Amino acid sequence: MKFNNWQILPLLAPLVAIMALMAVPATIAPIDADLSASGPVSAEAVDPPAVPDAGAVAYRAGDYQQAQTLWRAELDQLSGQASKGEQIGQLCYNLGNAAYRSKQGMQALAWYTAARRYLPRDEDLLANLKFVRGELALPPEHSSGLLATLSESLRSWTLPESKNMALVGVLLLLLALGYEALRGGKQGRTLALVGFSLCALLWLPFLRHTLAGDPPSHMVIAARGTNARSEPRPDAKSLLRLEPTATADRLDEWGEWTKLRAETGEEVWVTTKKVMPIRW
Amino acid sequence: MQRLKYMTKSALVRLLVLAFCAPTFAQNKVSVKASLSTGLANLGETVQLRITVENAKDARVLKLPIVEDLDVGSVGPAQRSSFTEYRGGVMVSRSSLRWVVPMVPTRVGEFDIPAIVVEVNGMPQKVQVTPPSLKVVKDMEGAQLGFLEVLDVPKRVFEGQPFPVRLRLGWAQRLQVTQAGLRLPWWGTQSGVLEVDGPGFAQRGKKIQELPVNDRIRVPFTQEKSVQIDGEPYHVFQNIRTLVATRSTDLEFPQSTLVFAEAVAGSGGMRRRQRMREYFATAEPFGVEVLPIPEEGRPFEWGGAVGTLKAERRLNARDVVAGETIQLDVTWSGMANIEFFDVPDLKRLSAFEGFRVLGHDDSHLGMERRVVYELVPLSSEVTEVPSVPLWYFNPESEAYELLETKPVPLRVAEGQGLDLGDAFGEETEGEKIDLRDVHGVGSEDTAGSPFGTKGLVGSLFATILGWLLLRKQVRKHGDPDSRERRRLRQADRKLRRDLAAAKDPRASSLALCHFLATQTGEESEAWVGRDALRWAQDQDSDAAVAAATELKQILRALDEAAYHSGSAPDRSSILKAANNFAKQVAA
Repeated sequence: MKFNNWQILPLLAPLVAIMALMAVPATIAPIDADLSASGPVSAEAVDPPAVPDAGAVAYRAGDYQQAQTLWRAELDQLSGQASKGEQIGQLCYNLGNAAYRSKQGMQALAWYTAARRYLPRDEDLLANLKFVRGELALPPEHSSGLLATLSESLRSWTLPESKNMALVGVLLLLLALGYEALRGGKQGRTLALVGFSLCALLWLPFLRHTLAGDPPSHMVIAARGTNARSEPRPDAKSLLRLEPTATADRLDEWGEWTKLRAETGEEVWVTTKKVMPIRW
Repeated sequence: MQRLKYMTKSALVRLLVLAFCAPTFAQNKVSVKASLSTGLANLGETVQLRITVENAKDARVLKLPIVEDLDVGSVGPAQRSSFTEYRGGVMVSRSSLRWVVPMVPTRVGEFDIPAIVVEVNGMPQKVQVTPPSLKVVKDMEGAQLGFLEVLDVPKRVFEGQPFPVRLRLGWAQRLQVTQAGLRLPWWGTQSGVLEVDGPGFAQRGKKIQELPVNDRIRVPFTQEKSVQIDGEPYHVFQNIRTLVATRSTDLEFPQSTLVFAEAVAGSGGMRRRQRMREYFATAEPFGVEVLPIPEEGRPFEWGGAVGTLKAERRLNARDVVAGETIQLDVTWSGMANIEFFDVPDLKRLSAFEGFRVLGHDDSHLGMERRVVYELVPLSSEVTEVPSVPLWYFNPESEAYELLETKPVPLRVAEGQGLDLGDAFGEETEGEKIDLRDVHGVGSEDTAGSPFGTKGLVGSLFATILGWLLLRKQVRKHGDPDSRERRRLRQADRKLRRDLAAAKDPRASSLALCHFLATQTGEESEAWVGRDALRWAQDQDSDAAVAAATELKQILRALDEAAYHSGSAPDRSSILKAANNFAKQVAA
């Protein structure tokens, strides 16, 4: 039995159905994961803050400590909610400004670094980040060159954005491959190749996010760096020196000490006041 | 002639005797000897320990004598020799292994040389050195004809304080000295000190003589003015090193030796050769006590500077506009640990609040440290470049002292506002040096992605898998890009277009006939008025007959509508019938 190619289109229906089935739980999954990570969320935590501009009012009045306290309280409420990414980014940015005005340059740098995860292309944030690094006499964050530029451009997309881009890539590929399957020929093969290329390009930011994993949780904010010790004691052996702005993952806490996994993979203890969380 | 014949016969007889007599080999017994090149040596002179093993298959030196104040060199590769001879009709084979180990005494006195251990054919053997002792005396003649002095070394210094070591040496001009060198056991091996670039010593116009030190490196010495010692003129050479003590300890520098030699005529009549006559002049050992830097009175700003310092400053411009970059050039010089101290960070100094400090360029040469600070005066209120303070520890006063440059008057005109572009060499027009303002925090949720990671990866693989399956299914019916398939698709598209454009049933009928003719490979006129059912029956296909029945009804309905004003079938039913028929025809 022969039939027209367009009559094969209904065959795509199961494929679309499979994709839809996969999409539904996936849509729910990240939110579930975030909620479980942050524990039970009360009704208050989900509601928008009662006085959203209180921090800004204090900031405008020059009370930077109060501004930090208010914005930090808001941040603690929103922390861990994936759908509030942009607000978390704005709060971190504002906290960076307040920290800088309070003459806490390293803390400001840490807040801006935290904000960058959610606002990777925000011009104000990038300008302030560069400005504060200059004020602290820190070297430029990124070197020039093709690879550095490529890496920087891949970093400039948030995770939800990169997922959407990847999805667009899949849809374009679906169209291109559908045409190739039904029509074939040189035109179909060219279109399939273009589809694969576009899809690969659109998947790059998502792959970068997936392969790089979560960003480090803490940053060293001591202006001269800090000694990383083998145990949570001031007289314990210093295993290595963590430079200012070095990032690491938090593993544990003990009194005034925080256990970190350094970029070299070593597990070390540093005094808690010399590091700051940058993942919210 | 007869004599020649006799000699030939004699030689042949000897060869025959050698050939017919069974050759007898003999191996001499193994012997091991160790001896000194001399039992009496001058201080600083190299004495050779010669070790010889004869008639052994294999041998190696296991242990050399260890004697205090006697520097024993390492064992080099063995010299091998062997030969074979006939002695009384017996072939005798001899072989020997020989090592020469240099030994240099570093004091006067008598040294007992213990036995050495040599492994011969796998068996260790103790071998007594002959003579068993070495007597070392001062080369009185060498001490008269030459001298070596270590000068200017302080008895005590502080950690980080540089100190000079001046080597001065020479020999009598009447000697025809052709070779000279120094044996300095402390050179490059002394722990607790670092050699740094010193103030140097005047070399201009002076002759440079390179002398080997410890037979390893050649060190330049300047030839100084000749001096008279006891009425005799001497050549004089000099070199000054600068050392920095790195930790508090007692530094001990062992005895140093100058070796100089002149060529003298040897004995032996016509074939006599020149030989070298060596002289040795020594300098006594010396020590330096290194004291720790005191904690008491140490200012927080002290950056590790130790020594005696002076500071100078220079400004590249004194009449500027606010926002312009100026360079403050500060130079610290003196006998201090120039390379090692931290220079003042102007960003941390409240006196420089009227400036933006962009950075500094740090370099040193000899006993001079030069730092060029890049400063930007921020307003016209700035009237001077303040003094740059440096705390240092002065070993002479044994106290911390503050060294300050003099302030430099500066006139700053009000500029058009300081921008980052000027300050950092970038083009950021209109951008002021300050933070960008805070943002308003909205309450809207961020749009998330409908897909999770697994969903995305799954959809990608499902797409590729679906493509492969669909491709396979489509190609079961042939290549979709074949000429025939393309023609049929074109006909289908044309029928749709024509039906859409048809204004009356007659036009629709003609479009359908054209489509059917395309499917059967005929001219359009062939299907005008043709009985579709009969045509299908001729094809002998039941399915085609069923499809043709429906098509016949459509064609009839169209004809009736065109010629008898009946109702025309709708476009979808025409398309359905046409496609059904086309499908059966294709089958």
